Amino acid sequence: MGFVTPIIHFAQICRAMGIPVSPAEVLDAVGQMEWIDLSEEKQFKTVLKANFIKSHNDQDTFEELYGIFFHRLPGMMRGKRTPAARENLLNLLDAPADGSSGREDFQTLMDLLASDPLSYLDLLLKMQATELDLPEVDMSRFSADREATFFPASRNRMQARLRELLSKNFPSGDESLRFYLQEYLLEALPEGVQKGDGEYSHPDLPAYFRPGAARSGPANLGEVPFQHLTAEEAKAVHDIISRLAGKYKDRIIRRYSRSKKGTVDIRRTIRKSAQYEGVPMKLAWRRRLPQKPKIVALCDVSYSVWAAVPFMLNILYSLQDCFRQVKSFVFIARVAAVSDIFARHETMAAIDQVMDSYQLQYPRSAVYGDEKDKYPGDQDPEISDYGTALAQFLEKFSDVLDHRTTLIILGDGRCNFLAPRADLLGKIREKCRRVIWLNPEPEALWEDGDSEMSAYRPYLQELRPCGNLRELAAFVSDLFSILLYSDVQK
Amino acid sequence: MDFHSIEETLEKLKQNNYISSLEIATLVFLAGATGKPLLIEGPAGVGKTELAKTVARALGRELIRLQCYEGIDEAKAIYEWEYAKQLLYTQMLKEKIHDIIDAEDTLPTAVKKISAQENAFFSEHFIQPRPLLKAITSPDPVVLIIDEVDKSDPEFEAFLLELLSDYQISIPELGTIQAKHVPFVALTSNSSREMSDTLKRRCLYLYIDYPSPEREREIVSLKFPGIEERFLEKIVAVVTDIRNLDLKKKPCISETLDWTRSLLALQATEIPLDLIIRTLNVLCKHRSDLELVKNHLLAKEGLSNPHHDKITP
Repeated sequence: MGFVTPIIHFAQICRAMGIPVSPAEVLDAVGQMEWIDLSEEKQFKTVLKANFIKSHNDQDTFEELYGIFFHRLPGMMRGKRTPAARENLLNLLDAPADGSSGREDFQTLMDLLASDPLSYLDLLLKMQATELDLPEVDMSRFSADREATFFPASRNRMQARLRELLSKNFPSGDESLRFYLQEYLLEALPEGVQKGDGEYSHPDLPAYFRPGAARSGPANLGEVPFQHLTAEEAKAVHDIISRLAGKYKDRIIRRYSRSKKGTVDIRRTIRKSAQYEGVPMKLAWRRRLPQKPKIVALCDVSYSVWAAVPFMLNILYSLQDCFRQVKSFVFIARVAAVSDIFARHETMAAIDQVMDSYQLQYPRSAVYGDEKDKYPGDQDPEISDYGTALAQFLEKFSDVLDHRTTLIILGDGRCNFLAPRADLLGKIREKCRRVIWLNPEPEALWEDGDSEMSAYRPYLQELRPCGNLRELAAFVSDLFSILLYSDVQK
Repeated sequence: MDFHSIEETLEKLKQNNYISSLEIATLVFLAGATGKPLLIEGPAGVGKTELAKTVARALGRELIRLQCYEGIDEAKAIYEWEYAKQLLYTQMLKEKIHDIIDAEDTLPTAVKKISAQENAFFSEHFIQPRPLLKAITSPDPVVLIIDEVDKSDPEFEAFLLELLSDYQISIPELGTIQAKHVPFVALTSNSSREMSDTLKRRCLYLYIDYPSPEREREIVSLKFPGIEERFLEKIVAVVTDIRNLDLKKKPCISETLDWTRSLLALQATEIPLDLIIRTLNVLCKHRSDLELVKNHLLAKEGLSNPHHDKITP
């Protein structure tokens, strides 16, 4: 049973990387080990994978972690520990299961691991992480989401913590357990760390684990304005968005199924009537799905706003199953329909194409806000003209609007001192169910300079800031309440 | 009959015309040995359902299939009371009921007498078993496949939990029915919806991806024995190449097999470009995909060099 501890440790590390591995799954994996040939590593790995990884998205992370844990991290593998430590552990684990003292020690070890989320091995990986700059994604803003807290902490703090952990008294007061831990740690720690050598970096670790360009500024992705995201952060934000979308989708679908009753369900009514001698005392109703809303998105893609557009489009199209239809248009001064591109390609590829085309000469990397292409305003042949864009939208595309359609406009409302023509927005408003405006600028700037938000405001049912991930998530979270339950103010 | 080792599983699946990887065989073996359900995910057409069917064939067990869809409920999946039969019996047995309560003077005693007979009407006799109940009450071990479980509503998952963890079903009027034999359960999903963690926790997870060219060649040659080696290689090369494009629906194994069948039916020995284009409808199921593949093939002319044009966001 020498494999139990590594499996428990590995589960801990999986959890630290945000893969939810429950104790039951660890037990299952351990239980299944007796069925396979442990000398065949492939089988061992398959069992771990089938029990720990329950989502395709996590499979790559698993491969990575598995490689590091069982192959690259020295001392992690069975048989590489000192004989004394191994024997100690084996004695512990092989103790009879009838509640004698050895069993209790094992239990204590389990408890220790389970109750202390920053247990020693977790710590160990983090020590590696200090040098390796793992992605620091703080999702604590999104309460229900699982958290991937992997902050690289300073080496000194880590060492202090490690000392503290080692001097801590274990509940059982068993010195041998501590001895084992110490032993194990010393074994498992890379040599550089043991010597206190600050320059340590493991040669075998994959490239992206190595130190990358550190970004100065706020650490919380939810708060970083879209236009200030680096390429990598933007990717992380897109990842978070797709996860959020999955969550909202579930919630929305549940809401649909719980909603109002429709026509009488004859079959179920008759079945129920059997309780009353065939008299249909109680009627059964067929559930009626409320009509799914249609969404039309109209996005300003001039240089002042474009950074926010990919994120908005990503979340709308990720949720498109929940809508009857999503159509999208982009404009600077002229409006172009881009729904076709989304129909033909996957969402992210389509967003790339949209940003590439429509007279935007931005390179593809601009989608992620690559530093050097951040202000392509000089190449911009057009300046945004909301008045003209609204007129054109009304003239050419107003047939996409009907009484079920919600128009979502993404823009800063900066008309470059051209006529805002808010009356046109009023006309558009009459053709559709409601108009929602998302403004990527902070609220304080809305009335400033050439911003015409005050002119447009009377026609809007919702006006919201949408400059960072937190604001976007808050909007989407409320979106379906707005769509399904709020009434038209005519 | 059961699998006894991973090697045997691999071999038996192959005998039943299913080429599996070692990973698949390991999990099938484990699912059988430990009695855990197997949750199979992957793109459409990579052989998820086929795997379960093959397991049934290999084990010589009956296959019970539950096709999930939006709005499926317990009456469709687990059991239903046969109300009509119950009514009919009540009518037919009216005389008998009279006999029973005839001797009683007061209502309470009559009710007591009748309630003693209640079991007659809420018995297994009046239950219409649906696939799930059938699977666990079957006198012989079976293979149960819960197909496209992601299409069902989140509430339906809750019904499955009791079955999947304890292999029992609770019927309020009858009590809990324990499985006579633990069935081999496979759930398939296209991941159109993320399954709940509680359901996933109870399952072994298997993701089947598009096959590697080697495995695909093996599969095609298994299904079309005697196919010419060079011809086979070319077929797989073309499909692999098309699969690398950014398509709405990528061709999967079943489409490769269909295409091979079409080519054989056309008695082709070579696959020139115009033949590919003429038969492309077998591989691509979207108009936009057809266009894209056509343009790609025409642009490439030859079929040898791999394609790197895919847009990766």
